[in-house]
Amino acid sequence: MLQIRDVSFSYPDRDVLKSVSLSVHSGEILVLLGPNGAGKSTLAKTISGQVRPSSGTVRIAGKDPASDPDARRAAGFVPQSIAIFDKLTVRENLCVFGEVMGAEHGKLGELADRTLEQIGLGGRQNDRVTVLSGGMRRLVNIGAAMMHGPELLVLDEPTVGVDNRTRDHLREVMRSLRDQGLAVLLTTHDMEEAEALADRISIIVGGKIMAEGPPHEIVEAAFGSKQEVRVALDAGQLTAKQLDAHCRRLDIFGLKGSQDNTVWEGLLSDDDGQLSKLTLAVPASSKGVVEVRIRQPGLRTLLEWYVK
Amino acid sequence: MTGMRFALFKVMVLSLLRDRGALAMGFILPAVVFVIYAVIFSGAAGGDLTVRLAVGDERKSELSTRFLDKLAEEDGIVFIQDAAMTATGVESFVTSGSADVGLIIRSNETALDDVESGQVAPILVVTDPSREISVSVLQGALQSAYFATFPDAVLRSTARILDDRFMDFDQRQVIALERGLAAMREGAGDAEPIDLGLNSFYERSDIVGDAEVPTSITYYAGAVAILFLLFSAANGAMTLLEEKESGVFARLASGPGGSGVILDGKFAFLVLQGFGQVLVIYLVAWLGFGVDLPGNLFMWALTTLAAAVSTAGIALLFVALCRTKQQAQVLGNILILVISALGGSMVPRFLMPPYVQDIGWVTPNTWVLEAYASIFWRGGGLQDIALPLFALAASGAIGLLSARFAVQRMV
Repeated sequence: MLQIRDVSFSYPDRDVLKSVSLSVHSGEILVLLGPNGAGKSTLAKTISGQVRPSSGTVRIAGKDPASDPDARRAAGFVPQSIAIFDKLTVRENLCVFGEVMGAEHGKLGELADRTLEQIGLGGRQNDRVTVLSGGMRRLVNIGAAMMHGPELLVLDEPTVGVDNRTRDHLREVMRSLRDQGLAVLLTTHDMEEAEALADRISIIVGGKIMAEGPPHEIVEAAFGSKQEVRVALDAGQLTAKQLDAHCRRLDIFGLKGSQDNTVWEGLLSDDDGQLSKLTLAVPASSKGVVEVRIRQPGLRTLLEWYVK
Repeated sequence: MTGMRFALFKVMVLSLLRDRGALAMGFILPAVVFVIYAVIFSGAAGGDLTVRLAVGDERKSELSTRFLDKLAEEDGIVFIQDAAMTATGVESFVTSGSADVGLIIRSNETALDDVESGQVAPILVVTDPSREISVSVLQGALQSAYFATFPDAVLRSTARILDDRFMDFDQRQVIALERGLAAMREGAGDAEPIDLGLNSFYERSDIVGDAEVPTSITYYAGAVAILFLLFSAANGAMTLLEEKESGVFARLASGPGGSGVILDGKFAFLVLQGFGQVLVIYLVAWLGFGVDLPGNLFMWALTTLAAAVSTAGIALLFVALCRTKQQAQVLGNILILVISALGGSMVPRFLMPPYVQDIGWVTPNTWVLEAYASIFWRGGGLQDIALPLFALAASGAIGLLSARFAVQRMV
């Protein structure tokens, strides 16, 4: 449904997107995960045709959204901000955005009923959006992009600032849309959101796609059998000589220490026995060792690894 | 695409209807301002000019009383009189602005009915140079009251000139003349006024189409209309920047119609809003002040439509060139006030120096005022307003097209 090939975009002083390629298929949620400033919103604007890439191609259902109205009609865009009309009711907002995005005027009532049911705001349809809670306004923000029945839905950080209940509801809505066959592209910097929703994840850092695939696969591809190790020391319980000895041992295993040498982190595999050797060399029960934590690396570790 | 434009037009309509402040600003305030202008200027520049005259009579003679009674009957003169009013009192009334002009009948030796009997004029007129028009009105009233009160004095002066320069009256003629003048003096006020031929000397022809309505009222109906058209168009167009800041604009622009349909929808709304706003002003002008709107409805509608098109296009272009709403508000107010002052919305164009009048042609105000003047003052036809209509429609179209181009950078 969405094909992005080698898309680059630059401002005069910096490159925002560097040869980005990705695709989103019908019936899947692709999460574009990256830290703030990674280029997620710019990529979303490129897809909506608001930003013309310096090079590369964007195709929605095979058409260029920058020049072909049909391509833009096939997609629904949910911006990061709540971009709806304050003076209109929920239903009026849905109908206006539906019509602007190309829905047939005669079918607006029926489409609004369907969308209201999907976002769960049927009982508030005649309320002005100014009297709704922030979470409900987010739902209207999403509903406005669904009215015209798009085949692709692009959501830019759709759950920023919402409470847990609304966030869970929003996630249900997105899963439901995916199950109805929509291609969903979701940008976020929230690891939990990505893990909860993603069929596939693209990690973007510094305008470049670093990894793409199902969440567990890209983690496994990056780390293999390596485990995430964290050792915390209490300098107050140790003499300078003892602390120095711990540090030398941890350094040998390739762990990286904090500035005061009290926290050491790294990735170790047991395939070569390194993990077992570490637990023997720095046992959790020894004096001055506060914590020895070993766990499977996740998306957070992966993202931090790419950012570093 | 028409449906998309209509949807955005509907948003503007609903937003206006739900904003009482904007409704009042758009439809009530202009009418109120027009009424204020109309009330002020209908008294000052129409046919109902009234002069407040402070009167002091130092003689309190039979002749001075008769003269003042006649003067008081003159149209447009209202006495501010006190039996004890002195020359100082009269001057003080004029100085303070309580009276437009003052009149003192002096207690000197010069007779009122024979100005050649003394060296000093029997009447002193106290004037404020900034109210020169009041002096002119009083001069006319003084002449009229003088002729009516002392008809014999006028003829006596004429007879004296005839006697001195052209013929010598004999004793019999002198006696007959004195007898006749005495009878005339006795019957002054009852007899037919003397016609010296001045009334037959000229005829009056008003260029104004509707003589019943002071020109100032029809002028200010148009002047206020175009001023508020500019303000309301600018305010309406500023929703572009509000929508840009909230992200709505980018969202709408990502639709199949792009940013163009947003501009078109707003343009259609601004034209309709402007037309409605001017209609309210002219309905008030018609119902309250007798401006002949029904008799000129077609040409008025064409002009008003063209004015609304022009202001809508210009306002959208201006806002599309601004970066923030605050910038648009500050610059917009300055620009509107300046072009309205130059264009004739604040001071009538005919009071401006010629070069300022020439500058006015670059403003929509001047074209609109010229078109309305053709319709309501000069009774002109379609050919007379063709050029203003073209100028207004062209400026609106150019504004809209340029705004469509400029707005692309807002995405």
